[in-house]
Formats: sequence, C-alpha cells, structure tokens
Amino acid sequence: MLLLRLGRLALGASRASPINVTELLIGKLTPYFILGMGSMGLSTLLAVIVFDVPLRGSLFVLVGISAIYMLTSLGQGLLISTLTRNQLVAAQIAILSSFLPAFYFSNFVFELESMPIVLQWVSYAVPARYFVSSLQTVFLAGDITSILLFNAAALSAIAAAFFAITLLRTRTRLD
Amino acid sequence: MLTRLLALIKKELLATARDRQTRFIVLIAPPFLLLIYVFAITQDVSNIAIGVVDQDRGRFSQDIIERVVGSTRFRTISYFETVEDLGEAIDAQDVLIGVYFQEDFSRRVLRRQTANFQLLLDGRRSNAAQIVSGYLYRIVSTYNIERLEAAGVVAPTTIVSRTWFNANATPLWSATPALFAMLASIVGFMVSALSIARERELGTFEQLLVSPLTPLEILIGKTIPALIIAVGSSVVMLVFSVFLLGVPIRGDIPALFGSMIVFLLSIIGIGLFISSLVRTQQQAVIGLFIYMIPAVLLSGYATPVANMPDGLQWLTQTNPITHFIVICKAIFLKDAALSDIWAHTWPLVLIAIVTLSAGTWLFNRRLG
Repeated sequence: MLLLRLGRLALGASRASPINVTELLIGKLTPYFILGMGSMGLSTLLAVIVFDVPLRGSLFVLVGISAIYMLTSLGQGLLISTLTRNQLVAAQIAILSSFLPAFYFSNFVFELESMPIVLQWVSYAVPARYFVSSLQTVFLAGDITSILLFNAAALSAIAAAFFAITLLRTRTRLD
Repeated sequence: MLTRLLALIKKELLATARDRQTRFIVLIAPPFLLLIYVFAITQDVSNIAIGVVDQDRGRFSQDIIERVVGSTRFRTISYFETVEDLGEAIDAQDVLIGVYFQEDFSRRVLRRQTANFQLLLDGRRSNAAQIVSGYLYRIVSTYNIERLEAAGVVAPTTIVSRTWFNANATPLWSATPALFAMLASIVGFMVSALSIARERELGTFEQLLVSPLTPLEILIGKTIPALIIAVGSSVVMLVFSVFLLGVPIRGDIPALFGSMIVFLLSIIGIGLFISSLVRTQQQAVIGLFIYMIPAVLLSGYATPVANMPDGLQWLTQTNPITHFIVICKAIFLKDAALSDIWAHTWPLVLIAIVTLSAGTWLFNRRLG
C-alpha cells in the first residue's frame, strides 16, 4: 500500500513559466496526472495479485479518492515551484516536504493520536493522512461512507487551497 | 591540481552559501525537522477510544471494565447494546478496539470455569491494535493475579522489566539517534543527487568540461563540498540533540564523527551516481525517491530488520542507513566498544568505496 505514495510528487521541479495561467496549468499537469494514476493502477494490481490484499470496497471509490489525492500532490508541486526562485530549491523542498510528512503524519507507522496535540493539528494539513486512511478503509474494510466522505472533503479542500495560492501568486507575478 | 580542485570546491560552497533559500533548506531546516519529528515518534499508544458490549452486566465484567477505564491510556469508553453496533463503530473508526462480554461471563467465573471475553481489533491499524491488545492482556493478567492472591493462592511467575541504556524509558532518547541518522542521509542525498544534473541542465557542465579539470577532479570537487555541507548540518543536529533534547552521547565522539563521514561519503556516492545517470534535476528527484524511500523503509528505522524475510535482511546489509542507525544508537546511548562500532563501520567503508567508484565510472562513461 505504501507503494501508492510513490507515484506522485517529485513534481516540485516542474516550474511553471508565467505566460498564461489556467490553461498552462492544466496543460502542465495532465500528463503527470495520467502518469500518477497509471502507477496507482499498477500498485493496486500488485497489491491485489501479488500480496493478496483484498479490495473490499469498490474500484470506483478507489479511483475517485486517488484522483483527488493526485490533485493535492500536483497542487503541492505547483505551489512549491511558484514559491521558490530556482529549480534546485524547488527540488530540495519537494524532497523534504513530500516524504517526511507523509511518513510521520499519516498513521502509517506512528500513531497520530499518541502525538503531542500540536503535531496532531499539523497532521490535518498533510494530504497523506487522509489518503492512507482511505486506502486502509477501501482495501480492508469496504466503502464506509462516513470515513471516505470526510477524507474526500478534506483532500479536496487542501487541493483547492494549493491551487488557489498558486493562481494568486502567478497572477501577481504577471502584473 | 590542488589549486584547481580548491577553486572548484570554493565555487560549490559559495553557490550554496550565497543563495538564501538553499542555505536555509540544507543547513537550517534539517535540525529543526529533527526537533519536530522526534516528538512524532511514539512507540506506545494513548488516547485510545474503546467500545464495550457488556451483555453480562455482572460483577466480574464490571471489574475488568473499571480497570480499563482507570488506565490513563484510554480516552473514551462507549457502550453498545449489540456486537453489530460495536462492529459499525469499529468500521467507522469511532473506536479502535472493542471488548465483548457474553451474558454468562460472571456466572462462569462463579462456577469456577474459565471465562473468556472477546477482543475486537481494527486490522487497518494493526500496529496500534496489537499494542493496545498488549495493554489489555496486562490489565487482565494483573486482575487474575489479584484474584488468586485474594483466594490465598500465591501468584505464579510475574515479570519485572528494566530498560537498559534508557533507564526511564524516555521515548526521546530512543527516537533521536535513529532520526538523526535518517535526516543526515536525506541531507547527504539532497546535496549530491542534484549537483551534476543541475549543471547539465543549466548548461554550465560543458564549461566545467572544457576547463583544465579532469573528470576525476570534477567528481572530487563535487564530493568534498557536499560532504562539508552535510557534516555541517549534522553537527548542528548533534548540538540540538544534546543541548535542546537532552539526549546523552555516551560513546566515543571521534568514532561518531569518523563513521559519520564514511556514512555520508557512501550516501553522496549514491547521490552522484543518480546525478550522473539523469539529464535533468526533475529526473534526479525521481531517481532519488526511487532509491531513498525503500532505503529508509528497509533500514530498520520503522520496523526491526530481524522481522524481515531472510532475503531482505541480506539486502539491508548493503544499505548504509541500516549500519549508521546501529552505530548512532550504540554511540549515543551505550558507550559501545570501538570493536562493536567498527563491525558496522567497515561495511560502510566498503559501501562508500563501491558507490563512489560506481559514481565515477558512470560519470566517465556518460562523458564518452
């Protein structure tokens, strides 16, 4: 299941050149989105066929939540590239800001509920938290609406925030 | 040759020191990340929400429930009428663990029969669930012993445990050495994996090639500044660990530095290998992720190496992070003998030689 995280990010390096805003973003992101979803599909096949992980929930929910998660990752990458001055810095921030928070603040290894309260607050801003929870539920438990809806809403909010900040920053640069 | 080399090293260091953002990310961010993440590393589970179905409502089920409620680890306790309701609460992750007493529980105890109750665990969070079930076993066995003693029977064997090298079992102490090792490796990767790819992308690589520097000199000139920066960042992390987190360094400090330099060289070798392999910084980041994530996950950092399948255990021996985590734990907490440290340093020396030569070989090949 942890493999699913790999198919994303590293996009911090894709620096948006400030020419035309929305179409440019869509044009830049679509290939990465397709790539990411492809590697999601491969990881799912691997999990189900090789590791015998059951997929108790529906494929539709799995694809849907992964698509939203992919958007947060792409948004994060874009945001990094608009906030940084050069590719080197963007790449370094991508390394620091993708793996470590996802590792510590996702309930993957360490229990969030046992952490100091401030770190628990921080974890609410980490997309991986909602994605790990969704994957655990879709694979092992099934389509449990209360958990999945909450996660989907949280991921969408984070994605929207990332894109909004990116658009704002890019607009100001154009002026 | 030396002057040429020094000039390149100076140029590399200046490039890092001049840029405010780079300086911050490479030197300042990792020590602060150490201070944050060290508190995220928890071996125990607290604030547990537990669900109870008590169809017995007798004295003995109440006794056990009271003890669970009395434990500080459990945050909330919710009661359910039926096992189905409890199951739904577990599904929705309102509770992590469920306890189910059947209606004849107390009756069986009174009849001097073995009385069982059921524990329902959430397999999605298998780690936490297992730890919590351990707590419940302890509560129940304490209860059993007390009942035996009340009946005038001497309790059978009990366990009294003591944690060596960390007498108060402070989580900070056990978490810091391994986290330090991991962050040091990430810094090592960050300062090396992008370096050659960056020059290629910016087009300054050709300038380096037409300069009087030989390929080997270029590579040394890339390795040494990366090493200096990574060591600098690591020293700040060590200072933070000792003075802000209060973690002791009981062992030999020169040995720590010696093994740290060898370790960082092996990491930088891997970084330079990746960097020579790719054409752009973006590819370098992807290459780095493909190596770094498995390397961290298979280093014994999150799960003990001893629990891995044999093949993987063998593979972890080629992973520099595995060895350096063992070294750090040994030097921070144990004042280990130099021979024990050497047992994990010579594999690092070997790995460093292999990765640096592989980096050089690939670099030369790519020039042709």
